[in-house]
Amino acid sequence: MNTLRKPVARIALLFCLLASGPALAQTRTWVSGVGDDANPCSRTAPCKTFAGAISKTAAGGEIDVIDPGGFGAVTITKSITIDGNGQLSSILAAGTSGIIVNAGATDVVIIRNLSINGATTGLDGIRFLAGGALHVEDVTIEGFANGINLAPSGASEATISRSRIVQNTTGINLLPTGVGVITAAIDDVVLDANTTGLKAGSNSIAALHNSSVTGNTGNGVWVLTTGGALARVMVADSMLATNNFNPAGTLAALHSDGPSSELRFGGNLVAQNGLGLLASNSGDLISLGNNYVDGNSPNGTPTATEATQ
Amino acid sequence: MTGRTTMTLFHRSLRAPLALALLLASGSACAQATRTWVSGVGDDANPCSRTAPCKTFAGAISKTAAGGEISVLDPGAYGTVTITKAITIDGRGQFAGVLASGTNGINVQAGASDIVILRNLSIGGITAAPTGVSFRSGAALHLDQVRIMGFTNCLAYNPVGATTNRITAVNTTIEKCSTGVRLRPADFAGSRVVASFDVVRLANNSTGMRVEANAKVGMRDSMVVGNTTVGIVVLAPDPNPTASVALYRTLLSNNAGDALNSGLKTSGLNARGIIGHNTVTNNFVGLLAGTSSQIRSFGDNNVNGNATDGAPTVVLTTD
Repeated sequence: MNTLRKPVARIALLFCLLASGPALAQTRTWVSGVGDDANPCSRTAPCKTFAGAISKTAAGGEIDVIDPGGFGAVTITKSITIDGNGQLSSILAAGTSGIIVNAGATDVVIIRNLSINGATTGLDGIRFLAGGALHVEDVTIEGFANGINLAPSGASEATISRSRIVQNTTGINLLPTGVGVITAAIDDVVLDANTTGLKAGSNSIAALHNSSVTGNTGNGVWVLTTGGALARVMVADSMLATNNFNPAGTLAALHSDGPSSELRFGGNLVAQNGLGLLASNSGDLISLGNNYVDGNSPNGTPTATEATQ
Repeated sequence: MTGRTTMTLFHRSLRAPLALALLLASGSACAQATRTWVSGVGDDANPCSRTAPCKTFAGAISKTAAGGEISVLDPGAYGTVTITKAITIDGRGQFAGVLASGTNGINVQAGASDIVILRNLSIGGITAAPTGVSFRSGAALHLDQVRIMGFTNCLAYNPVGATTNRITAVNTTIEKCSTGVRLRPADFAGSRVVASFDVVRLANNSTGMRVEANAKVGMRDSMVVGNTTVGIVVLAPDPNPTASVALYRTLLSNNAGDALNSGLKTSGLNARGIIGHNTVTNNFVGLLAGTSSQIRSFGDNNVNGNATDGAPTVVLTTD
């Protein structure tokens, strides 16, 4: 007791109290395959899971990965970066969702260098419910109902680049809720061996660029509305090949479906699909006149052509 | 005496539950995990966990649940493997090798709805190894960041059933094989295959890619270079169904051969080459459409600087 009266001891006690409090959330935290969530998630005492690390990571901070591991599903409610660079940094989410983003209206969430696997029974690889912006880079996603489900309740932006989205029911699904609007830029992405590669509903504005949409058994890109607000998608400089190889007439590599659907396409290869181009239910399928469309059975036709400039 | 009898009875009464417990325990050790791990210093007697990894893909796969994944903990050579279910093998972040001496590297013979994903692997063959990745059955095969070299066929589709199958290769290098990619649906009547290639190098093979009847290929942003006989050959003699290759923004160069072979060669009534926005240069013959076959061009390919440039047979307009 006497020792506590000494100033040095009091200061030491104060430090201990501060250290245990949430005020000391770190800007950078670390996880390891052999970490422990009881740790402070430091470089020398890393945590075991993303969920364990996120509560110890300051808003605007970053979770990094020390060595290979499966780091578990996580829900994100603030600005944060999760970067698995240099390691197999994985989330296994059988029967559930890998990452749920439900953040503030101005929060920016960055997901980089992760492998997210739903083991064929997962719900959403990444589910974006709210947030200012979501950036996904160098991520592989497989085995979910939706690889990436962009379903914000507000006005949100998303970019997806250098990612491989394989073996999902829908590779990328854009379907805002309520008054939500999603603006998405997608570049250098492979959407392969899904049922539907990319699907966009009302209040979706998207560009798919320099990407591959291949081996999907349903539609490659499917803009689907039943009235309501516009869904507008541009597909450019991409390869749409080897989709819907059993041509039933209702599935296509590029499919604009419904009265509020606008699907434009320019500079693409559309080849070796069942049906190549399809507009149905008053959807607009607009070519920029510079697409390579051949070798489909059949090729199909756009509803209109607009000029390049 | 009485005491001993009691003990014996006691032991007997325990025997059945004990055996059951042992069975269950060994059962749980053998239970399949959704993710398993291999390590260069692992042991296939292990459960293939993160802390007790296995040594080989073949050892790990029996302990991996269908739809699951084999991950790689550190650099190593993980041996040849036969895959009979939906699975992902991903060597991300490490050097993950498969060395096949006189045998196939990876055999894929999976169920009709199974998708097999191979990522970040280096598959090498020595001493007359037949095939690097042999796709015989399964819904789809997806290769990403895979390097295959030194086989008779680097990647082969040689089906064992009358099925339609899909192959996609991304960021993949296929080199130094007799035939880089061989798509041969005729191995089982009634089968067909569609294959897509995105940023793939078909380099320094004898034949870069050989596409036969009932096979259709799309390829973009790829390189078909330095193949000593032919870059891509499409073969569908009448009355065979179509064999077709669509090339987009791809480089065919430095493919040697002779007047009967070329960068892109089509042969037979139902053979199609479709070309848009490619560069075909420095080959012995750039484009060679055999009698009755078609090379269909969108008119914007750089076909120049070959010993003989050749010419398309059909000019298409873009849509």
